[in-house]
This record gives sequence, structure tokens and C-alpha cells, in this order.
Amino acid sequence: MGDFRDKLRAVIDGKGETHIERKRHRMVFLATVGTALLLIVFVMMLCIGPTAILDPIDALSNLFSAIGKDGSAMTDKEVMVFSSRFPRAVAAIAVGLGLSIAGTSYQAVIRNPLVDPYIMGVSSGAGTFAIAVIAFNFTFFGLISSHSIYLIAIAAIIGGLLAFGLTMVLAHRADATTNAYVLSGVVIGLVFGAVQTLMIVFSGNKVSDVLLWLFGSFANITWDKALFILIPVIVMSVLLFRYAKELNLILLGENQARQMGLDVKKFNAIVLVLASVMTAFCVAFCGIIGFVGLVVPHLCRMLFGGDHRLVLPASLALGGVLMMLADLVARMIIPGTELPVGAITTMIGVPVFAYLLIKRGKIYNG
Amino acid sequence: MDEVPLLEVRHLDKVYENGYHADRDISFSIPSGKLVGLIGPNGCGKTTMMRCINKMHMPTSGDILIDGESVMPKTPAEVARLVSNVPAEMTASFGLTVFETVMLGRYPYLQNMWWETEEDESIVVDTLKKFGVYHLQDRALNMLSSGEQQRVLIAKAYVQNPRLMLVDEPTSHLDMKYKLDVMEYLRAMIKQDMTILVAEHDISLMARYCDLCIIMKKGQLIAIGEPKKVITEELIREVYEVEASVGFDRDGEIYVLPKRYKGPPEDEVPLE
Repeated sequence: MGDFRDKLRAVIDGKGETHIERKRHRMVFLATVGTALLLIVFVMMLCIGPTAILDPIDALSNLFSAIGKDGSAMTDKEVMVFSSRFPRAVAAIAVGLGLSIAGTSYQAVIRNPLVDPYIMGVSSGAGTFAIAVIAFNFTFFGLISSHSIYLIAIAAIIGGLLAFGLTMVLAHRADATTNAYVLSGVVIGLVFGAVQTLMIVFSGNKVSDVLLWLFGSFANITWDKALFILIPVIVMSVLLFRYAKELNLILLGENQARQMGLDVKKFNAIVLVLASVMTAFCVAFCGIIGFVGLVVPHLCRMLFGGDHRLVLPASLALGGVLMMLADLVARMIIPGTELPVGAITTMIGVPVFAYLLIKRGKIYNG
Repeated sequence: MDEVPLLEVRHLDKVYENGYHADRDISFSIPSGKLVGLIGPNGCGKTTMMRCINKMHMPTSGDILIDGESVMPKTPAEVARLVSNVPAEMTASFGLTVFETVMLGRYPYLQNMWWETEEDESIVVDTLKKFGVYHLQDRALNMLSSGEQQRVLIAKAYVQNPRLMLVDEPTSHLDMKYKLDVMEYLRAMIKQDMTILVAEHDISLMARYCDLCIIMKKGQLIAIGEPKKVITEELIREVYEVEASVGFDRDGEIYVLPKRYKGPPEDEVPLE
């Protein structure tokens, strides 16, 4: 085996390592740097807030003492770190990586760089139902208690999946091509968008609550809510990671993927369902946060190339890190005022995206 | 005992959902180790037949056998290990490199592994060198010229290590030099254990390079045999409704020179 490896090395001259070794090394680099960045920014999230800025040791010792107390009889500082900042950081990571991985998967399956996790109508459906709850106290005809902290979230998930389902039905009644998916998603999104607009007009004094949800925010995130997002996001991500090779294969087009042994229709359906369910959970508590799901996959492709076995883990790390940073900016930039994180990610996203379009647009041909 | 043919097509019939009858009762068999040309006018059912052979389409009736076994009960991955396909053109989204594209040809053999093995890599490297695209390995597929792209696509189909390779109009975007280039590569790939079936419009090119020719018209098989025996002026008139000179050059190579169109106007619109 050693001889074989030497021979192969000699074959690939100049580089000193085989393609597979190069990818493995990048993977190790990615895992190390990604974990380190996630940890560093996570600790920053615990340290920095509008009420007080702690040093890392202070923040961590308060965190561990709070965990030691099992959440009871905590000091103010412990409450701040353990009950407020920690779940908020967890939610930011979960939503960031969830939207990024969903965006990466959607872009590959639809083979269109302009696709984001909201392309299949999930955000419009979720927004419509969330607004119905916020502005008109819609309780699914009394099925869910109007006092439940999950009411808006559940409404958003149901609305998101309803819109996604309608998109899938429409696309399959057409010819289930990628264009059919995109066009169906756009049309269904427009329908829900129109309903949303009408409801906003009639929402009266609730209009600011409605807009706050729509812009996206990690304010008011508790432990329950953070776990409610994190667990499904992790499950869906693990399931999507299993399809990394197939996401590469589909880049050659559906016909080629099919003749190379992939059941394309089934694969498309599975990936779109996983990505859409994950997106629905991401928007459930935190609203519609734009651009992360569009831009992070492209940043990762620029850094690591087109192979999804690297792009997916890179999206995970970068998505989590960027979302936490955006949240930090959102609550720190104007003291005393919490800006909607969706606006921050968009403001970071637009110049990055414009740069990307100018610099790297060419390789996206086809 | 008769040798089992590599590919046997039995009474293949394909009617599309819209009622278009693309292939009508086609039967033939071809042995292993041959370069086989598939010739016929646009819409004669060549592409449909190729798609039935690798199970991209299900035949309406009839059967396809490879090494004496029907492909119908086989899974897509099993078929992919027997039959590979070179499309007329292909794009790779998101800047997939030449190396990555060709490596995807190993997908049917990967099973549940995350990375390809070093053996896969050495197969791909050897193949890239064989096809003269090794120096392009880190370039994005979409940035190559059409001649280079075609070689990469053939390389990808080659590392799939099939018994049968289907090649659909490989030279349609290429100039004279690259046309010959592609045919030389296909010729050089023929081994005892692989047959190549290539659909192509350039009859002279097919006649020169192929061991066998299959001639189709309006979904039916018209003739199969050695090019020099099969391709005649009468056949061209019958299949294409074109007057042509069929002759031999100084090297004894056959050539076909179309002269003028003779047939009635076609009123049916072929599906393709």
C-alpha cells in the first residue's frame, strides 16, 4: 500500500499530495478552524451585551456556576449569561448553519446560484401565518392555546410547510424540472406575499410587532426556544450531509446523474423536503433572516471549490459564525436599541454578493 | 456454443405519452469489442433507443440484454456499472473542476464511502493523461473549449468502466480536426471487453472508423452490418431521401457526398 501511495505521489507531480489527500487536509483544516471560530465567537456572545461586557473568564465562570446550580437561585450575572446570552448564541448558531446548509442544498439541486432557502415559498407561508397570529390572534380555531410561547413558531412552521407543499404539488403537476420548482416557488410565494400585504394593511396598532417578526431577531430567545430550533436543525443537517456526494453528482445535470445511478426524482424530493423543513424551523422563532442562506454557500465555494463534502461543513461553520456576529452587531451598534438581525445580515450580504458577482460570476456560467 | 452478444435489443418499441411512436420493433445484437455507428436522420429514434438501453426511458415493450441479462430488473447503480453515456454537451455548475467531473464517473462504485479511494484516483489520473487533459485537471469544466470538454466527458464515461459506452453526437460542435480527434480516442478505447455505440450524422466519418453500422429511419431498423457493405447510394436515398455519391478514395476509405434533396416535404414534426 505504501508503494502504491508513493507511485501515486510521483504521478501527481509538483503538488506533493494526491487530490484526495488535499481534500482530506482541507477537511482537517476546516474542522479545526471552524470549531475554533465557532467557540471564539460563541464566547464573545456570552461576554458582550448591552447590559454589561464581561471578560471571557468571568463569563465562563458565571456560566459554569449557573450550570452547577442547575438553573435555580442564580445571581443576576448568571441569569444574564446562562438564561439570556447562552440560548441566544445557540439559536444564532442553529439558524445560521441551518439556513446556510439549506441554501447550499437548494442551490445544488436547482443548480442556480441565485437560489436561497426561501425560494420554495417557505418564508412567505411562514410569514403569512405568523402575521395572522401576531395581528389577528389566529389560534388555528382554538387548537393551540393563545398563551403558548410556541404559537407563532408553530403557525410559522405550518405556514412554511404549507407553502412548500403547494410549491411541490404545483411543480410536480408541471414537469418537476428545476425550472418548474423555481417558478412554482415564486408564484406560491407571491400569493402568500399578497395575503401578507393585505393583513399588514389591516393590522392596525400591531403593525410594528408584525414588522419586527418579519425582519428577524434573536431577542426573547429562551432555552426552550433555542432547543426547539437546534434539535431539528441538527437532525436535518446530518441527514443532508449524507447526500454530499449526490449533491456533487447533480451538478452535472439530472440526465447525467440519473445515468450514473442516482434516482434523481427521489433525491430531489428528499433534499428539498429536508432543506425546507429545516428552513421552516429556522424562521419559526427568529423571523425571516435574509442573505445568509444565499451568500454563505457562495463564500464557501469560493474558499473550498465545488465539492459539497467540503462546502457543507464549511457552510455549517461559516453560517454559525456569521449569524452570531450579525446578532452581536445588531444588539451593540446602537446602545439601547436592538436592530433586526435580518437587516444586518442583508447589509453585510449585499456588498459581499455584489463583489462575488463581479469577481466570480464567470465560473457560475451554466 | 454461440457467444453471448454484449448487447442484444429484442423487439424494442417505445411510444411516448404524447403518442409519438419513436422506436418500432427494433431487434439486433452486437458483439463485444466493437465500435458501432448509429446513423439516421433527425428524429429517427436513435436517441430514444440509446435512452432505453441505459434505462433512462422504459421501453413500451421489448427487452434490452447486456451479456445475456435483461437490464430491466437492474437498479440504476447496477446499470451505471454496465453502461455509461457521453452526452453531446454538458455543463457542470458551480465551477466543478475537470478532475472532480471525471472523478464523478467513479460514483457507481463508491457505495457508502465519504472519499474516493486512492485506486479511484489513480484510475482518473491515468485516464486524464490518456485523453490528453491531465494539464487541465484543476480548470473549471465550463471554461474549456468544446473539443477539450468532449474529451473530458469521454474520460468521465471511461472511468465508469462500462461494458457498453453510449456516445450521442460527440462531434456536433467540433471542427474537422477535433472530429477526427474524438473518433481516434473512441477507436483507441475499444478493448475486448468494451463496445461503443456512437450516434452521429457524419456518415463518412462513421464509415471510416466503425466496425459496424446500424441504420435507422422513422423508428425502424433499416440495416446493420459492415459500413462498406451497408452504405450504398440506394440506402442513402431510401433513408435520407437524398441523392448522394458513395465512393472510395485512394486509400480505399469510403466517403459519402450528398448532392441534392429528392424527397417529398416532410409533414410530420419529429420529437427530439
